[in-house]
Amino acid sequence: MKILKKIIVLFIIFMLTGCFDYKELNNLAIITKMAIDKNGDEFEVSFSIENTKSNTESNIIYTAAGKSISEAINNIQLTLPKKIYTGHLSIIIINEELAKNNLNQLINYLIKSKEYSQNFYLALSKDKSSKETINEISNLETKLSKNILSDINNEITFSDFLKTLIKPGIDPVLPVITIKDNTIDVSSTLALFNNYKLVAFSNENQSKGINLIYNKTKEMIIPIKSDNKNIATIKLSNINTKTKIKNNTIININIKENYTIKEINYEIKKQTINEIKNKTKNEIKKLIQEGIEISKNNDIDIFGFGNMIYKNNASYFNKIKDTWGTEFKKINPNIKINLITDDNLQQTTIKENNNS
Amino acid sequence: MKKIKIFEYDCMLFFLTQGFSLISLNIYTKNVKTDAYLIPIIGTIIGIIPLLLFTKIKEKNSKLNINSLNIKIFGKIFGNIINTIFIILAFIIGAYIFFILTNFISVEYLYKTPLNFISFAFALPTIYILTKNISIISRSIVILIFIEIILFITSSLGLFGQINTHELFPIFQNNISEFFKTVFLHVSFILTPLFFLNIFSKNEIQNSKNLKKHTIIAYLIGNIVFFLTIFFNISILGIELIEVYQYPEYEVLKFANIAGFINNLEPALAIYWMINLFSFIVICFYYSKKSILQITKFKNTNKFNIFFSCTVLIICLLSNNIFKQFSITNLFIVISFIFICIIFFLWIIKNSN
Repeated sequence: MKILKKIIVLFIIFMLTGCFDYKELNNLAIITKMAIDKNGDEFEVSFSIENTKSNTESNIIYTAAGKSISEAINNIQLTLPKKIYTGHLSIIIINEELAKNNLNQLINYLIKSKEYSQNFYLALSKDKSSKETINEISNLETKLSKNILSDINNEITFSDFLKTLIKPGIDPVLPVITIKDNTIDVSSTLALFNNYKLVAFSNENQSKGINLIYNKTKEMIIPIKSDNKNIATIKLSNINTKTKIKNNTIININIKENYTIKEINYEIKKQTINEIKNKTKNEIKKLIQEGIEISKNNDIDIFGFGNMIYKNNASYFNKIKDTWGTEFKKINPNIKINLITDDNLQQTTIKENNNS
Repeated sequence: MKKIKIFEYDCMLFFLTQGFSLISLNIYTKNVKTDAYLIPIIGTIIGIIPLLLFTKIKEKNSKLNINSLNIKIFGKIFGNIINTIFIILAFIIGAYIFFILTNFISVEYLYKTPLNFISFAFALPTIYILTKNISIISRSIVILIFIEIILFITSSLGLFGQINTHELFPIFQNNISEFFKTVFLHVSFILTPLFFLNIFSKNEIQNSKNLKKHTIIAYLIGNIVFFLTIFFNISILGIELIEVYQYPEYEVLKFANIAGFINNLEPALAIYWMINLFSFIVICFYYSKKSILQITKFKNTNKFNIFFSCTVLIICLLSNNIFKQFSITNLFIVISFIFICIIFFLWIIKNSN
């Protein structure tokens, strides 16, 4: 028995040392951003790798192509002296062609790959390849010492995207990164998907409307024209949107927000405040309706109204599930906006009253 | 006769209720979708009746453990046949949970390490602890329960803020018979392993006056933890994502976030599952060990320990190859539970005679 114990202890010593299959930090290539492009039949994968030497640029881009995503990654590994480590991956950027034709393949690869944390963000690169996009982002981040990805308004993690892909009655969206004249725009366009296919891009106003319904916008600036010359700039803050369902088909969108007149180039009177308030409400309603309109035009439900109906009354939704694309078009949500005056505006009013 | 403390008995009971919790979520959501979190609630209420029955028989025959009781009631031949069936059952369930443990580690942590290597690494502490007597095993289990409590509280705190009640609907969309079949399966998952605690007669437990009270409390705590596991998973991941992952219990821990800056805790928090399964395996194999010793009346304990250690090692190493091809079906657990209930029923009839 003593011999058996000694043998067991001997084995445990060898097993618990941690020497087996160890990886030193110096031997790891820490991937922070990843770009995947589909060009014709080939996938081109680019890695932005954190440079551990401080005297040179902070990120280095490595690229390789292959017939599949795994093959392309394997080809990068062959050119890299270090072992690829994706545990700190913050974003994957894909190009339009991949989003249109091979999203299914990418999702499948990411679910099966245990090395990925699954909490990284997903984004789409428009007009330029995603490789060029991560290159630009890396350059700009070095120059500005700033994390550009923190500016993305509608940031979507891989698990969020996956949820919206497989849930009934909801279609996914992704933020779009566009690069023009050395500037990066991360919040004015959204990519809209129907199942695993990219179907449309929203413009700036539509994206604002979509983000308002998603409750992702917390602050907003709206210019309100009084007439051709006079403009008041309204700042909306603490925006809170609640979407509720009533009687299976009635969707209520309630928005509660604080508003402040930031700038005004004409004399403010008591009745003008109400006028500005009404115009602001109309402007917000217009943005929301534009957001809903693009969704309806593409027969997709990016707001998950269908999912809300499913959660509320699953048997009813199952009946209309197959025709949900057309049923969705009939839905006209009731939009209720509650503007709360900020102290700033009250001061303006007080000043005006004192003057009069 | 070495006695165990009542608290140690409670800890063992808790671990036995958790044995199937790592695989049950996928089974429940597959059967009843979102209603899965209601299964432990109804199952706990239904399961308390056979549990009380088990405890009553134990209290009535305070000097006898399950093996002696079987021999007393069914005679030497039939009694030993039934005891052998129970030993095989304990080996099969223990080996199956061992396979789940190694597979879980292989899938979530060591995906590049051969499964047999992981099995070997976990078989060694299992064998080592089984060579010790019950007082050492039960004390180890008490230490493990404190680690378990810390990990569970940390996970719950981290996950509490991520709960989305919207994911808990729609409910009662499934066939009612499917719902109750799954409730019965849950009762089988909980009560079949609890049967292995009958290896301890009432007299082998210190301060066993309040045995019934302690049993019920430990059973309720075990079921509450079981319910919370399913509740957190459904309310955070949603049933659609649960169906995508092999071990959603691990994936959900990726969302654990304490005070906004303590995150990425899943590799540490998932040790909870390893402790759960490891303790379960040890109790199952201990049942087999003590039963074999009792039936065969082996006197040379050292030789027996070597023989039993080799058997456990072989079972552990074979479990990967066997259960990869022939997975234990839910029906097996349900049939085992029905078999146990029949034996208990016969005890009651014979006792009343």
